[in-house]
Amino acid sequence: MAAEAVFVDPKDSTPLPGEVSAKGGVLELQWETEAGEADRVFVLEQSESESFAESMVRYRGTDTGTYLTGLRGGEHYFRIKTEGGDWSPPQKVVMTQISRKKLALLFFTGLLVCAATVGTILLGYFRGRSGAGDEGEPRRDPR
Amino acid sequence: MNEYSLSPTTAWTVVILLGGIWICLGLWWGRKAKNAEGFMLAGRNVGLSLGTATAMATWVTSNTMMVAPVLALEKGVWGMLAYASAAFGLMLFAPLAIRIKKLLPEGHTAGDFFRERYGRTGWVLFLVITLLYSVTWLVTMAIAGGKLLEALGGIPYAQGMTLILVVCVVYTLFGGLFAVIGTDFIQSLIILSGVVVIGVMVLLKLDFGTTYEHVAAEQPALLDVVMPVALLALFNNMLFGFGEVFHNNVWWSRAFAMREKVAPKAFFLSGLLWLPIPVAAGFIALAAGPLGVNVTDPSKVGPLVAQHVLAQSGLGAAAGVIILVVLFCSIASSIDSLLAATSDLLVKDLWVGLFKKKLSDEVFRKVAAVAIISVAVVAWALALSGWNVAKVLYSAGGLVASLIWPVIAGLFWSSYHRGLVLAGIVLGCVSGYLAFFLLENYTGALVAGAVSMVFTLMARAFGKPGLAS
Repeated sequence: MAAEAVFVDPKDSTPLPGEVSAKGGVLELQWETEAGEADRVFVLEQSESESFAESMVRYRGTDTGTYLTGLRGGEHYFRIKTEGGDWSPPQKVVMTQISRKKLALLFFTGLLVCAATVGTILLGYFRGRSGAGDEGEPRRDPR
Repeated sequence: MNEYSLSPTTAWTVVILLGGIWICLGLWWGRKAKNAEGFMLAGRNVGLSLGTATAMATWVTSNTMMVAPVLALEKGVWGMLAYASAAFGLMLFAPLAIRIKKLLPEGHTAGDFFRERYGRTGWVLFLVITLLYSVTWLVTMAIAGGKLLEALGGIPYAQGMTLILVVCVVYTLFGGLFAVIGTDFIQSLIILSGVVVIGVMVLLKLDFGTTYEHVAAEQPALLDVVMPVALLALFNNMLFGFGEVFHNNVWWSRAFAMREKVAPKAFFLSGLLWLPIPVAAGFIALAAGPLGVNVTDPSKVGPLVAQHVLAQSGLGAAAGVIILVVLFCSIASSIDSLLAATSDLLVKDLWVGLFKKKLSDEVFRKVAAVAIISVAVVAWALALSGWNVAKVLYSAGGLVASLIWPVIAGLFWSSYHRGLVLAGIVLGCVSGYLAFFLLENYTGALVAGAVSMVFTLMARAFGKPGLAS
């Protein structure tokens, strides 16, 4: 009889709860067979619905894990089996993204800081070249 | 991918052989270092070709070859561009180098600048931050080296990591900056050729129509024009690059070592030459899915895909050797620079500056050797953990970004309130760490840079004309 494959937590190899969350479009999945046999061929499927009415094979091979990227925000379902074995129960993954408001704030902050940094350096450089430096020679520390 | 294209014996042989070459060259070039000035700054006479090559090779770190692919894998084209934006750090250092040479013609370390512009408190603050960051950077490279040898040659992680560190320590010990710059020149040629060859081979293996369909089906978010985390990574990385280059003694020591007219040209050119490397390395990682390479550890995606492509091209075990040589060069070219520059700081700023010890040329080499070995031992002990390279690296983003504006102010402005600048550095570091751990991985440098900028601008508004008060 084929061994059941189950998803496990990559950190401590304990079985994953039915629902987990991830962020940034990135998901690390790990699985193992209950009997722990080596060199089994695993099949990993992904679907947007729990019924797996429409699904795609994400991995087929002997590795016991994968690192998926580029997943959109929302719910995703995964299941795993050894070839010829039964599917594991569906694993629900809720992919979260940073909120738009927070993103906008950080994005424009980054844009502003980068632009100000480049602008200030170029201004200092051209002032120095034209001899109109702020500035002259900075004072030395009077220690 | 569990099959190694190299046997452990071959991997050991390649690394020891390459290490032997670097050590011999280190000894050869090291003969030029007649005194402390020669050992630390290569006689302040480095020309354009060597200057450009050393800056470029130093900036091609193991992170360029191993973290840039992770960013591309996780964030698509935006991720590739985000890493490549670090090139602007080198390019922008060109105008800074002009000021550095003008303000500190006899300078030895970045610490000299901070001591003169921010007093003893600012200097100590700088030393704490830069030593913390330099060790972090060194740890990421040692980890990358260990993982590389494990992935390509099946060498146990701790052994491979130790081997790479030992080789770099030995030739840096013998040759100082002369050896570092000389080996960097050869290493930069190997890195550039290797990346071009591997990049072209990946291109030849890929069908763009199929690749697009594959990504659209399995990694749809990578094609989104607005990918939230990627947009954050873009500015965060740019600021990380600015902060790293602007403050670190690796770059200041090169600015001091180059001839006056050479330094700005060399830094600008090295940025231009460096720009396509993370793009090529990232592109290789993007091809993982379409080429059917299962990624289990993102830190190894670059070498694994490259190995897959070269092996499929009929190169067999030679594929592993090529990748190992290219990546070993990228790791060695940065570890040696960092060891040399950090030991300079320990010797000149801590030993001589802070503890007021006199140092003759004879004693200098011994103290420098102890400093190099000490830094390497600390990095080795921390690297035994095998942490996630990208996370370790980005955790330090706030440290370096909080020094961007203080460097700019110190170089270009004569009036600012010193206390406010220093407060900005401290708050920048704290907020950077908080952002990294509580907000997103790719926000540490961004938040720290913003906080420090606000404080530095306030410092300018409250400064007395003509004096860094």
